[in-house]
Amino acid sequence: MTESKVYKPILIVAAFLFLTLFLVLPLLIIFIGAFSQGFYVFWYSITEPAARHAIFLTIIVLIITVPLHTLFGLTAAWALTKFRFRGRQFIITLIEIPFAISPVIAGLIFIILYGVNGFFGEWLIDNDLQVIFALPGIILATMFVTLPFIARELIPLMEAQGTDAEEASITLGAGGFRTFYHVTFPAIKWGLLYGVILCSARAIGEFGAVSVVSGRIRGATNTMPLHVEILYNEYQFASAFSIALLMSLFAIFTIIIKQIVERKQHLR
Amino acid sequence: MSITIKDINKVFGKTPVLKDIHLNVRQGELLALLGPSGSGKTTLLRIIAGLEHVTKGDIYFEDKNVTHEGAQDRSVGFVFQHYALFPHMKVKDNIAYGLRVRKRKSRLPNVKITEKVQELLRLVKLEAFGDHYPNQLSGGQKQRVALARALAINPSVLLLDEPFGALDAQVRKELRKWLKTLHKQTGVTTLFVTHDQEEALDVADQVVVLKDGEIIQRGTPINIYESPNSPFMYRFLGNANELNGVVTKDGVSIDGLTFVSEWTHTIGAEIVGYIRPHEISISHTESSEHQLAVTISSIHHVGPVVFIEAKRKHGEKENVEIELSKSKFDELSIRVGDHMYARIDRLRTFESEDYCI
Repeated sequence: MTESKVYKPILIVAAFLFLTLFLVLPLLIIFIGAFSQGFYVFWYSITEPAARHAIFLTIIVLIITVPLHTLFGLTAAWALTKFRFRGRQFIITLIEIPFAISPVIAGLIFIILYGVNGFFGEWLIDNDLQVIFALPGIILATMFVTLPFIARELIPLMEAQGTDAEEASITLGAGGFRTFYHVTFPAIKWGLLYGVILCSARAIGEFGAVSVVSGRIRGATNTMPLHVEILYNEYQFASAFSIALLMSLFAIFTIIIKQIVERKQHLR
Repeated sequence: MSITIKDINKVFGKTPVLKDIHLNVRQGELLALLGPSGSGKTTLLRIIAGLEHVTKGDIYFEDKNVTHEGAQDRSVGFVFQHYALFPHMKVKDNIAYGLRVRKRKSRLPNVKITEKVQELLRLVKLEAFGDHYPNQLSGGQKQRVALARALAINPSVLLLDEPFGALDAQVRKELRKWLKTLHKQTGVTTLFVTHDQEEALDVADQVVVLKDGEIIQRGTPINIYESPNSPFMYRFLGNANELNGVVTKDGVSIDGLTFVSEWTHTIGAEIVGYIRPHEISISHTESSEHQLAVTISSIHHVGPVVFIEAKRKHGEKENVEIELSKSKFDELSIRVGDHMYARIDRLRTFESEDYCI
């Protein structure tokens, strides 16, 4: 018997045990927790006004953040990979900063900038605008945290593809927009979708930065993850798990799509 | 369409890549831009295509100044080394691309486009592959699709950037032949970039050799090979033996032996003589005094040709490379260690001061 024959099953079993302990079991707990007081409590927990508002707010954040980042990611990746200019590497590094900064710090930065005592605080009050403890703040914080996802997915992809195909398209008489639509976009669409999925997942799940700027006003500035935490702190475990289950289902859904996208990407 | 390039300069950052390039390409010519890497040949091609801006100078297509026209409007067919096919489009859609992206008024009706694509597929001998995707084709087939795609727009000029560089030797040879035929059929003014001397000499009507952003020599392939105008050209186009010598009133003296050079020099000047390996005859016996005494140091067979390394017995004792046909070699029955006499059939000399590489 060779060594690999001994180690292979041991390693596989170990991996399965590990995954069960850290991934499957928690998901199972969420599922059990959500239905621990029956289906009615679960249903109520996800349809009562405060929950509905949290879901609504999260969706609003999602549909503002993701399209903006799609646009930003595409433009940034296009500019950074199809052209060579001074400061290019610096901008690439800059884009990754949100990965390195703790979300809580990110939230605090926005408080310092837009809070009542912040840099723009007075101006904002004078003009009757509220950023912190309101939707704009939540969106800003979410955008900060999710900024790298799409751009970072696209930059290496477009870098690897080079500029030959675009140049071929231009010499064949196509303009910039046609070239993007017919040549660049088809080549990056799966990568883009992948980035969008990651960005969406994070936009929905972001807790730290949002919790700092939102003020956690129930029914007003609570997103889904914040709502889960509040419910949990109030010992409403079944309700907390219900919302958590909803979020987990979305996460699983994105992972399935991600798998499909990855397969498509490999087939190309 | 003829191309006139006037005083083109190109600087990347602070590095000059092209210096005062003047070049005329006549209508229907097949011209090779040949040079070592970094010589600026690809940059020149890209400038003609409009893919790169010039720092200074002008480009004319016929009498029209196109310097400030973008690549989109120049109507050039450009073929890339790595094909640059659109991977998500079928072969036929790749070829039709240039016809389909035209503005509505100048666009051909779909039926005509389909016809034209069929015609081009026939031209590049890929009739059966119209519905394939690029990744289902071999390298040579891909490059033929790229050519068909470039020809679809009836380009005024066809530009090819190392078109066969990524292909293996056998396919490369076939495509070279095929490109020549295609050029005869279409008559499009064609420029191609290559670093392969053999390819340039084989395919082109005219060869332009570039080095460090300057044109070193231009001429027909025969002209370029037979009469290199500088030591660089001698070294770059095929092998050459180098022998140092001095100019005397009788000719060129290399270690006491006097030779006749094709070029005249001032008496007393130091020169470097260049001899092609096949321009040396070799014999076992000394027949005249103008022969170099050598010892055979190695013999190397490459198919029908035999390369012989011989060490000179006198002077600087350099190695001399000699190229013989297999039959000649067998006739002489040469073995390593033989003492022989080498006669120089043809010698080109350059004064040492213009000797620089």
